[in-house]
Amino acid sequence: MALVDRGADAPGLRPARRVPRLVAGWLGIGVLLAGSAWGQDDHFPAGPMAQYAFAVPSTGGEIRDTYVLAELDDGSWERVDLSGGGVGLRRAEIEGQLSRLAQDPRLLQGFAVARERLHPAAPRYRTVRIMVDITRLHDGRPVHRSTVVRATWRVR
Amino acid sequence: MTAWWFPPVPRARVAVLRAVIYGFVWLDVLIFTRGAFMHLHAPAEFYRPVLLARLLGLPAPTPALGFALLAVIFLGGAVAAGGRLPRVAGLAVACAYLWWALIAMSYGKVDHDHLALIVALIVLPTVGRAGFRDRTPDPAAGWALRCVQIAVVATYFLAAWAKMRMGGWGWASGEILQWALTRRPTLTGELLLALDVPWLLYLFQWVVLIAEFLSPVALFLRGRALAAVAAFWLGFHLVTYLTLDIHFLPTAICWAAFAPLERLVRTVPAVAPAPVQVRGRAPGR
Repeated sequence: MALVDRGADAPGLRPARRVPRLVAGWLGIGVLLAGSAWGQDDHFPAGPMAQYAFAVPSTGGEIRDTYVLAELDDGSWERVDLSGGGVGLRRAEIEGQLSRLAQDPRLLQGFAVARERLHPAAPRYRTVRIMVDITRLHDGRPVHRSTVVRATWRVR
Repeated sequence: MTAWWFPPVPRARVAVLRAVIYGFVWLDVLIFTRGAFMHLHAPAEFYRPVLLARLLGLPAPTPALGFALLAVIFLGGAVAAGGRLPRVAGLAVACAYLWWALIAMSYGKVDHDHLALIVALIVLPTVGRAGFRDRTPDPAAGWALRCVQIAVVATYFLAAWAKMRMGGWGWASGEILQWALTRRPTLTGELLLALDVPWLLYLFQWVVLIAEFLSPVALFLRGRALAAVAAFWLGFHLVTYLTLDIHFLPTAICWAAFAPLERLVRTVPAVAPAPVQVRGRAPGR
């Protein structure tokens, strides 16, 4: 065990160099523990390690998959690229702001603006629509699928 | 416990770790957090700065700011990786990268695979000058490595804690993997779902949860036992990459802080192992 056999005091490190390091080390651990106990994502980089931390019950659990559809100039619809290169945002980020978008669909105007800026040669967006595919689980198996529209915006 | 924080580690280990970490940061900003780069073109109203960014009063990101941060990360990283100006260049990279990460996390999604990398960038400059052949045992080097090791282990242990806090004990017998496989389809993942082997998914979930809770053990292991634990976690990251397209490389790379990296240097030059006196400060500063 390293704890035991490292033995003697730290050689060659004067208190003036040792004490600040010790304080910083313990303080860092304290901040991380506090972040996990009470923190939120907002406290990055000290928030809880919350990715994949929520429970999805085998019965009654839901798998929600968000995507964005856009109506082009010619009236056809396409799926907006949410890898980051499409409108500068990824799916998880849209999901993180979904309730805000549903309350204030005007924000979707930004999608059309970003599309123009990132892909000036591509057809423009006329309508932007946020969709969510919902798969309901029973006994760990998908039993029901549905799709809902969370927000629609006619681009100005 | 004080001695535990300051194992006398050869400075060369820090030198090699610097090359690894600063080299990786280049990759990271170009590939893994390139989302941050895309953000510079994202609709401005989607920028929702996290607390630290608000406290620091960071301005809303612009393409010019993004390029400036990239320049500091690239130039500073190249200088510090080569062992020059380790404190100044290292500190510049740490600040620029933290800023970059704060931008990446300020659009509605916070990732948790960067903790160890950020800690490494903060503590590496504190060691000061460290040559690739400098075998002087230095407790300050040991402290820096210890900090990175703690951050690696904390990433796993605190993930288990978060699962209990948010998901409760039902997490491991729930459908989180099916949830992830459905949303992030990969070839392997679709095969797994098609095979319809729910027990395998539950088994994986339990193994992950238990391993995460036990991860601090790595701080007290050595030799083969430590290598086995590191291999387990690297294997875990490989599996999640193949099935879920989640790579966690910023954490995986920091496992290097557990390895006797200075040995990589000795094998390279084909000269006799004469006790070459390397430039550096006199011992017993």
